[in-house]
Amino acid sequence: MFTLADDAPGTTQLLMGNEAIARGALEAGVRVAAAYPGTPSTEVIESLARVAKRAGIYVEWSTNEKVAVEVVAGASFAGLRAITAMKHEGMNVAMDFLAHLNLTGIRGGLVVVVADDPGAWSSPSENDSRAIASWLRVPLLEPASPQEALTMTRWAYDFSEEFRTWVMLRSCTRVSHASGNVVVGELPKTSPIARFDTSRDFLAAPAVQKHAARLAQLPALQAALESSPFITYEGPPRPDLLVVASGVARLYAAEALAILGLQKSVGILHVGVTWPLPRKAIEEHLARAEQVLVLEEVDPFLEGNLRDLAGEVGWLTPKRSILGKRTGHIEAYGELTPQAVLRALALLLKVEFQPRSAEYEQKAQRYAQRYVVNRGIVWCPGCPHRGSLWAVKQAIRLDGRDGFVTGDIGCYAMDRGLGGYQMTKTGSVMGAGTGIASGLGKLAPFGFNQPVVAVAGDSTFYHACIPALINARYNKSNFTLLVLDNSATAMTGFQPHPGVGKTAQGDEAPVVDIEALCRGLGIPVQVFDPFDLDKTIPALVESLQKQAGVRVFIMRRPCVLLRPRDAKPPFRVWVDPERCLGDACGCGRYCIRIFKCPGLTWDATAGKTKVDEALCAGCGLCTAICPANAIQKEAVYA
Amino acid sequence: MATANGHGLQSLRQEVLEAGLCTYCGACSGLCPYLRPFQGRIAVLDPCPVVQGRCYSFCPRTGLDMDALTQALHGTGYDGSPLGPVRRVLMARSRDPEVLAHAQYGGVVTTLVCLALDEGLVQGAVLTRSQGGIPQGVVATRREEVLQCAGSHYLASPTLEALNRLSPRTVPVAVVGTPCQMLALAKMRLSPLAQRSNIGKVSLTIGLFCTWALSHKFLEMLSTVASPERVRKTDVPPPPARVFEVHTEAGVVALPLDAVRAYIPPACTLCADMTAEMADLSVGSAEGVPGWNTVLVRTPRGETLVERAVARGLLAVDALPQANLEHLTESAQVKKRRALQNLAQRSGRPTDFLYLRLSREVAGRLLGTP
Repeated sequence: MFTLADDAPGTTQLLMGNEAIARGALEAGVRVAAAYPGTPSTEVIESLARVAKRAGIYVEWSTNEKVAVEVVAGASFAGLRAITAMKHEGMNVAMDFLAHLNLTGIRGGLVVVVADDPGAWSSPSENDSRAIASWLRVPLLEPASPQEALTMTRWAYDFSEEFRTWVMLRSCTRVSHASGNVVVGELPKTSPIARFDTSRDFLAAPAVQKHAARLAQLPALQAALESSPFITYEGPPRPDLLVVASGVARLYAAEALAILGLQKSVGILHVGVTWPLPRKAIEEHLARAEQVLVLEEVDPFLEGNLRDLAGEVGWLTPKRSILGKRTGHIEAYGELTPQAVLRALALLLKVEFQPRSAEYEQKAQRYAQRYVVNRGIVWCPGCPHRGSLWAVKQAIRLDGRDGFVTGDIGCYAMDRGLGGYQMTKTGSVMGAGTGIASGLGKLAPFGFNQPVVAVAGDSTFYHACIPALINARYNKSNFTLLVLDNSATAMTGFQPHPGVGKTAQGDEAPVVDIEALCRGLGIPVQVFDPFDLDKTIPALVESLQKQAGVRVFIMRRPCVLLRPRDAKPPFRVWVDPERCLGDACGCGRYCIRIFKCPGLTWDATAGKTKVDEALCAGCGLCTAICPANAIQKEAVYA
Repeated sequence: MATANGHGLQSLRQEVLEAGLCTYCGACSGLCPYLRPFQGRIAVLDPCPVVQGRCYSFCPRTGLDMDALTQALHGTGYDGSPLGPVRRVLMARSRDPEVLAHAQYGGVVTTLVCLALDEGLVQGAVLTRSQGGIPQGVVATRREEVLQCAGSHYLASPTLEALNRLSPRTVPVAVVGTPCQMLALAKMRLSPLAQRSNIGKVSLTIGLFCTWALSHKFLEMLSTVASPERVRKTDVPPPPARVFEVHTEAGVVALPLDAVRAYIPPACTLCADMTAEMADLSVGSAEGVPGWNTVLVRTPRGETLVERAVARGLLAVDALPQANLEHLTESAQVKKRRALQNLAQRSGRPTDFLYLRLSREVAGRLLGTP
């Protein structure tokens, strides 16, 4: 079985896009990698962590993206090649430092991978990170496939060192998470010595001079990109339409042309270097056609720059046009799909095309309804968040002043899903729940009397809640913060964090104790088991009613998915059919309709609730909520 | 009929809880996981899908058809007479020194409940017990437990929750409660959902005179003079005192009555029943006669019990002074008139009394506008 640390030059391996990026970094001699997990970027660092010891590199999960960039910048300043990877939202966190790192310069090659999430499959926002590259004047690469991801990453390091700049490698979900055949290259045999040369510095100041120098360097940088291997053309010499595509859009274009049989009349220009645009190379290809369609993920970034360039070189005349998202031929939101490309091409070239018959659509719906369980977004059976948010709901309703939850990013955000309790009313970025609560908690003089509960996961707490919590303590804000400590960065796949006693490389690590940290801030802190509703609900009510500054509740219970597969559940849980009165109870199927654990299902034949033994995790929480005490549990001894 | 079809929690919420009509009697509580009495308020924990809810049906603040209720219990229509149907009016006092030591006034209620338990007339009694200053319903099955419940609480108590939560083994029971709680029991009896309540287990009801209760916010005021746990008794002595007495081991603190009255929930100002007309017998103070109770015997069942207590030597009885009866009658009448005026003001229509359904004739008589 091939691993990324195996030196097998010239062999073809099946790699995921993110693994290919990692391999490219290894082939370039990267020594240090750091990141905070974030879908769809996580596997870049995760796969490096897996081979760190064999490859002789250092890999860490940092507390947040800004710290991660600082960590890899440190390595670069000491002359080592380094890599960091983040999702688009992580880039916002890292921005403060990145927006200075373009002025300080670097020494060892430094690649910043940003994996955007068009369609926001795993994100609360849908941003295009590429504008940041043009804003900060750093070169931008966009791979289309796993092979190109490897090649581009490897290539970026020499370029980075030559121009003393970090390089942005922009991926997106379909590149990062697609797997493909990749021909791997050679791994370096030697490792440089890390040393910070104190005869030079890495200061952003004097900013104006550094800014001027940055701009002065651009023509040379742009010229160097002219000869990069990442501008390629495929198609007839004089196409009816020139498709200019970046990233995965190139593959969609090729697929669409094959389906429509248009390969002979339409050409595809793949632009892998999207900022700054290599002027001569693009100009040469523009000359082939009168009409251009630009395909790219999220914003019309390439489209706009291409229009500028086309105007500057005199290509753009009233007879010629550049089409794309600005002209409405492609939607400027959501994920680009082969279907959307097919539709745009068929329209432009007046080709008859029906993406799929209406009958097919109906059939798909029918089958889906028959075979797919009708279930919305829901916490897993046994999830500790269900207990925590249930307690919050009960406490807020008992208090009766229309309290609410300021949410955060993590599995607990599923409170907003069909399987949640809809108590969460704000949610955007990590740490924001605590900061927003800090603000709301100061509004009493303006008549505000609603209790506020902020929630944050343990990993989120380390990532971004601490400054907000200090702010709340310092400014005497009034709210309750629930740290939902499930001992995991669960949503991105169980990466270790400062609370779990392990590093990214699997070594033992000191545990950063949230409780001690809060105590150190002078904040009252209590630890609860989220399944102990008898304790948590009254304690929460008391906290909501106390107008006494910020309080922290640590709701501690490991994520149910951390339980080994062969481990027995804590309880055997069943519904006593004698006690469950079904619809005669008057509870309105409380356990299913209100509590909503998927481990409980309605037995239509018996007219009662039953435990779905395939799903039930045996946590026993539901036994506390049945008004008829029909749900029973019995401890299971291993 | 007093109970409308198709009304559930949503209607209760709109018409009662959010409209400020709830008396916190507890009739809706303990039946389901959606409602919970908490700190003087019925908390709605989740939306309930049940179309015809017991909560709405049992509530004494929804569709209260006075004629039907009075007819069912007393065999006569509702005529709006100040004290309701009464067979006998008397003054009584317990002969048991232990009871008197715990009692608010004459210890009549405690004595009668103990007798009913001793004689096996009931297996338990739904009473109100204050714990940490918070009154709530309990089921007493022994004399000691009854004694722990003696004394007036003044804070509204969701006592009927205890009836709704009654263990299936405890049958039959007595219920002691305020007028609104007696109205709720009367409503339960006539409800189409009566089968799914414990009303069938209630074989004796003792009502308490009530001019108003206090909201739980009063505890904040009370705690400025005494920790609620240490309060042994609270009392409103008859006029012209105009004070609210708080008795502790350290002595008696008198709070100005007007300041205390600020804690009367608006729902109490909409109540037309001072003497618990829907009970087997009603008990209150005998103003100006310390250590005695006024007793209104309303049903044969109530009469039998009082007679038995007298026969066993447990109660001393006497005639209620005429002046007391006149004053009681006048107070009860004033409460009715004010309630109707307040309800009409709320509804914005002179003959619409929201929850209270009366004949036009009775309403006119009560308002003094025939």
